[in-house]
Amino acid sequence: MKPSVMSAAIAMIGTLGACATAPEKNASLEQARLAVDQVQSNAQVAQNAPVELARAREALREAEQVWRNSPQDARVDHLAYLAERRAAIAQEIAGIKAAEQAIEQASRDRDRLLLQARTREAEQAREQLATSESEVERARRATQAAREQAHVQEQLALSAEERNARMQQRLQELQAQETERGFSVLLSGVLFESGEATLKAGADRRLEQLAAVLRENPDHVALVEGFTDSTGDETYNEDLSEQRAQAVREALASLGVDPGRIQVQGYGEAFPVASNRTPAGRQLNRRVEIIVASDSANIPPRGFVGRAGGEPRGERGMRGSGSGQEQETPR
Amino acid sequence: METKTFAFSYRSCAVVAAAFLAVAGCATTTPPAPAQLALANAAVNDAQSAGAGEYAALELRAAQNKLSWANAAQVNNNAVQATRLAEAAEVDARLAEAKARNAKAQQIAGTLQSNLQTLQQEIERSSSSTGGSR
Repeated sequence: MKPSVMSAAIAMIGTLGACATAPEKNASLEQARLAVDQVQSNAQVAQNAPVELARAREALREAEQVWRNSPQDARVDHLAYLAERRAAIAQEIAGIKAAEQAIEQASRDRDRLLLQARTREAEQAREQLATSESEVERARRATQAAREQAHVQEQLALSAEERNARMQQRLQELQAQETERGFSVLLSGVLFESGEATLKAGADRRLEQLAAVLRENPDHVALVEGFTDSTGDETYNEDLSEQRAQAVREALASLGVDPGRIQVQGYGEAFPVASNRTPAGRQLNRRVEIIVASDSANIPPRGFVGRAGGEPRGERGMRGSGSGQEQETPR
Repeated sequence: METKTFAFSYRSCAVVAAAFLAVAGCATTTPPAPAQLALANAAVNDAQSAGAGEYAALELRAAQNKLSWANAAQVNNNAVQATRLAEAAEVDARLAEAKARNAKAQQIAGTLQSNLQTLQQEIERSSSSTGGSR
């Protein structure tokens, strides 16, 4: 059978078939329709490759048109092929655009991250600087405080020297005697009536001076020792002498000296400094001696060997004899 | 498709087209063969430059084959066939080019993305190490 007859027969069958069924399908055209349909409904393609999409649709339209007019036209396959390829191109172009956008975004993100990191580094560096600055500041203030304290100590030391010098001067004015137990200031018997424990007015000036010494040198303790003449009962005289010492302490307290650092001891008739046979001698014996210590340790009372501190009141030591014991026996 | 049928219909179309060209002398739906061959040639070159040899070898080979067939058809004075083959070669080459560019761009995007992740991890690591131990 000649090809022309063959094709005519086929065409006839095709036409006959057209009345009852759908027109003859073209495989290439179906493929092209599918491809274009897919990319058409893809939002990314529509957005990123509109031109290529339009070309694909146009190519399909052309193929459809030719096919409608003459389904057997060889151009249909060719145009369908072109349409299908154009749809594929549109898909790829859309992919490129998307990748380019991702690259751009990655670049922006990188810049953003680096900026964040640098900012954070700067922040941390600032914080560290602030911390170290405050540490430095604290250290500086600490050293300054230490220096000031040392300075004050120095000043105190200086004024201690000064104070010491002043104390020496005052003690000198008070006619204090240097003893092993400290400086001894005598408040003579003229300040007490016989049998009395009341300080007479004449003591004021010397007490003031003594009080000044004690106030200016607060770390020095003092011991007030009271003595009587031999008139009267021994026990009575012991009490009396202690009362005299107390009287002096109270007087000093009223002059601003802390009584807590003033010890009191009464020796009664013991340790006379003059003869008790004459009124003058007895007057001399009626006295109070104030020992100003050279430091803050408790002053040991007379006659008690090895005892230091505590209430300086204990067993009676040596009694003053009639001949007059003029030697003090310290410690 | 059957080459015979193809040749048969093409011949008649070619006559019609030639007649149209002769009469109208202006643009038709089918571009003249030399112009289309030039387009196809350019497309194949572009595809090669884009690296289609590596990323879209199949499509590039198809384009190159069809282009050489188109040239052969042209030499044989088969203008319509030359044009059609050249058109097919052109779209094949354009597809090859697009595929290659897409593949490369995706690669770069992927690399940048993983670099970004690494950078982020580095930053978090260094910031946590210095920020916490003060």
